[in-house]
Amino acid sequence: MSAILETVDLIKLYKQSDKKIYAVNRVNLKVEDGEFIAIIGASGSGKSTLLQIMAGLDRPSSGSVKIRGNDLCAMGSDELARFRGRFVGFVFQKHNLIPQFTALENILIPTTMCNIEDFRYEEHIKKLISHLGLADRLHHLPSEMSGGQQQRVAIARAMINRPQILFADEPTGNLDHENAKEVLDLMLETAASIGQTIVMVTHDLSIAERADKIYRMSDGELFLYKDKDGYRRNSYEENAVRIREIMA
Amino acid sequence: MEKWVNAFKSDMKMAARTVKSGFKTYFSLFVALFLIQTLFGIVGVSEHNSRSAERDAIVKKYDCHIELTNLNDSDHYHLINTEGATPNPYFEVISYGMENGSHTTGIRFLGDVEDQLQSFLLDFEEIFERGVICHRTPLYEYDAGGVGDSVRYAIFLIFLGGISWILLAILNNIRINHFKFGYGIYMSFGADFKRLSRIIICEMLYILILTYLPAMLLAEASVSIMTLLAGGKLYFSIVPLLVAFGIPLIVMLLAGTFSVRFLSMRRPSDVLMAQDNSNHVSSPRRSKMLFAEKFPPVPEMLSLWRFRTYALRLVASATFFALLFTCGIYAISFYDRTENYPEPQYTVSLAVPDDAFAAEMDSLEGVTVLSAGKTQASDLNSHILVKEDAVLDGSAFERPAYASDLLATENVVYRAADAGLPSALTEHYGYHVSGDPTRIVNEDDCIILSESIASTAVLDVQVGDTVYIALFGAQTGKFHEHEAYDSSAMLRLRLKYYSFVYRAFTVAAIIHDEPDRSGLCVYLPKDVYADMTNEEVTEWSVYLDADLSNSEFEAADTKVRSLVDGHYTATLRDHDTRTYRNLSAVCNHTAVYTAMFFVILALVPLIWFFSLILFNRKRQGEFDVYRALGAQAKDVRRIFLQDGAVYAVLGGLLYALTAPLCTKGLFAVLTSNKFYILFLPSYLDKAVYLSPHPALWVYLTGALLMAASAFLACYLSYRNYNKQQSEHISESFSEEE
Repeated sequence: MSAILETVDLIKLYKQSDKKIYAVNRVNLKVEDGEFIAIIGASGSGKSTLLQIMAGLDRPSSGSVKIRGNDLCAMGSDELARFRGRFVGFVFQKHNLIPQFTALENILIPTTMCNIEDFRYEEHIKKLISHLGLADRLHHLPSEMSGGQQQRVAIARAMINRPQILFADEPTGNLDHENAKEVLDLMLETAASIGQTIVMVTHDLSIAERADKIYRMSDGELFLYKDKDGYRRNSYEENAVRIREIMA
Repeated sequence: MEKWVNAFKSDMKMAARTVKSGFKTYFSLFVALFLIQTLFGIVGVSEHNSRSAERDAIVKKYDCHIELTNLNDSDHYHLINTEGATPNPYFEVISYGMENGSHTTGIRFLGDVEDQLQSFLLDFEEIFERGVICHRTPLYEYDAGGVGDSVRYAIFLIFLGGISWILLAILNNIRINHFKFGYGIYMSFGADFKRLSRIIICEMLYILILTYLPAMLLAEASVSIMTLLAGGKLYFSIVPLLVAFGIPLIVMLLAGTFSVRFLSMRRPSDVLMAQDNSNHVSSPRRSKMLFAEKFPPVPEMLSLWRFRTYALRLVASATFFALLFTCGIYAISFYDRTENYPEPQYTVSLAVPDDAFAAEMDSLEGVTVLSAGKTQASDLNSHILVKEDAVLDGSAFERPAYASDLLATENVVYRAADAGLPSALTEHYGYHVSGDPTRIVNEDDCIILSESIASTAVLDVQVGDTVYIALFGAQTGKFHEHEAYDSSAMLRLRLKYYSFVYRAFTVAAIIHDEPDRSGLCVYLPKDVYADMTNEEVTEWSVYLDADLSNSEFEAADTKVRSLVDGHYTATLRDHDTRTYRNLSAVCNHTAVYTAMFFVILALVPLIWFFSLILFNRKRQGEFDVYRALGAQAKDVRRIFLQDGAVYAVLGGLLYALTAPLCTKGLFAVLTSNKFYILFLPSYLDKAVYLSPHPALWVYLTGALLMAASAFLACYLSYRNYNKQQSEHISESFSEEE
């Protein structure tokens, strides 16, 4: 498998008066094609910022992000916008649907923003809609739908252009347990059917457990928490143990 | 092509949907585009109407471009034969008859009148050498001036387009800034600069199309009412209506792409975050002790400091349009004064002096005759000396070596004064005159002196002061031409190397608002003028009373012409002042342009209301937090009213500080020859005394509107907030039930 996403020494720095706050601190991450990655961490640990930088919605202070070998940091704002439209899908925590547009119009936003030639939308839309169970809600406004339905519309919107990589920022954060499970199932099934890579931020370990790999974010730093070999100690803890051993 | 059309249709459909569902957020653009189209409609329709009326009036009176007099038989037939013999003649000969053995012949050119006049003068050079006189008629001036007028009109349209662009860019930025969420979503899903531009342009185009018809109806109706009330005729053309769509369309395209350029350069995360977090900002509750008092007394006032960049931009934007109104109305006052300034109807010239003829002309009913004798002092190597303390600072005067307390200037125009002048100064010209001007005809060695040049005061002389007029004596030394690099250097050299004979005159009267641009006017008794200049007065300006009815005017015209015809050397040149004045009254430019600048003034409250209401709506969450923490409704009201008061003071103050500076700058540009540039309105070519300040009501209107709009916008924001609070509470109760 080849790496679809790669970050090198990614730093996002905020300055507050004379204080420097590292929202993202030297993050190095490699995501393979078709993988499902979950990033967990406490509020304010920098996971949403990292996700937005990786998706090209924000810029890092230093370091680089590459998707399929394309350096996002080297792109101008217009080029980056076009790249997002073609290769990246994003599910926001607060669904972020445009209130005056119907479900269908919201789903179609990426297609109107970035027309990809030789792409059969109609067929894909039908499949996506039926998969997400939105067929009877297509002409409703967001205000006429439940939270779960709104989030499903947001997922459909993120997938309509068949992006190679899908970023999801706590997509089930505003939903109850039942709805959360249902939405996640649908998202994973849909992604699997079109072979997408998923990078998801969540604070819910039960959701993260379904990922191929789990990373933990703490004070801007990213640690591998679990992979196919099972749970791991983070490097800080490993270092601390090693230092204690040396000291002994 | 089909793909493009489909994409355009889809964009327009989306724009229509967005605009309809978010009508309130687009309301300011509706108003702005409606006003802009109305503005261009009014200007275009009125310009077309006045041009057509002018052309009609001129063509009605003149059928030739130049009029030739003093033609003998052979010259006259030479012209006719040349016209007939040329296969493609560029002129037509129109015969007006023959009198005292000479023909009066009209020439009508058949193409570009300026080029053809040049060709004509060269082709028939020999007849002019024999004393034939050529007068250009108003038809020539109209046809030749067409290009210049079109250029001026185009520049004016560009100026209006620039203002419209600024307005649309400001409103668009405010709207995008407050409703950037949707654009943030578009950007997240791949919208680049081009795509965002298309979205915003289609939204504005949709509004432009909706407002076009009502705007054109209003523009046509306004101009029609103004024209018909002034007794004019209406001329319909589709061109101004197309221009009123085309230019706003271009402006809209530019403004749309300008606003989007900045938006597209932002990160989508910023655009979305700003929306999400906007309601969670709260004022820092900090106060400082100053002079044993807490400042600010209410900590929320700090919110203004928190939003200082926004506040400054808002105040500056609103001030810009208030200043535009002030300068516009001021410029219109120049135009109005110029249009109503007395101008001669005819110039009558004689080959020899004949005072009796002038007196007879003056005695005709409705006629005022004034001598046209006028000579520049520098042409006579002359200058005047005035007391040093009578010269205002900044005026270019030179000190002669031989007169320690006197200063010299040759920036002077000597004019001949006859018996009718003293009363004409006040009654005819309406000048503000101090002293007794009649002394110039009743006493020896008296003069009337003006104290300004081109509307700028230069002197502060008193009645009874002595002024010395220099008469050239002899050259006592030599100087090189290159030493006289400007007029001041020239005067210095003349004072050094020439000898003069000075003659003392008493200032009998002072004219405070003489309009002459060429220098200070010194009115001399006619005999003194003749002595000094060695010229007899043989030319008179003949004015007709502006209030004469058409029949009275025709009667006076006939009498003047028959008197001239009866004199063996008199010739008359008709300036068509009456025709132009009637045209000006019919076109009613003053009213049209005043209305236009009031439309611009209407943009001031539009900006205040639109921006502050949206801004305060965005702060609603902040006020809700205050309420949740125990603030009463009156506390929230106080914040709104405080903000309103501060914005009102800031707006009023910024306007009050900048408006006089702007009008001063405008005055300097419009009155100084230094700044004379092609695109200045042609009416400024005329010498008219212009007031250095606009009327007080203009300043007051601007300042009051700035302050009142700022305060009311905050107050209305409070009313909106209060209403939403009540609805929110009533909804909560109904839910509980």
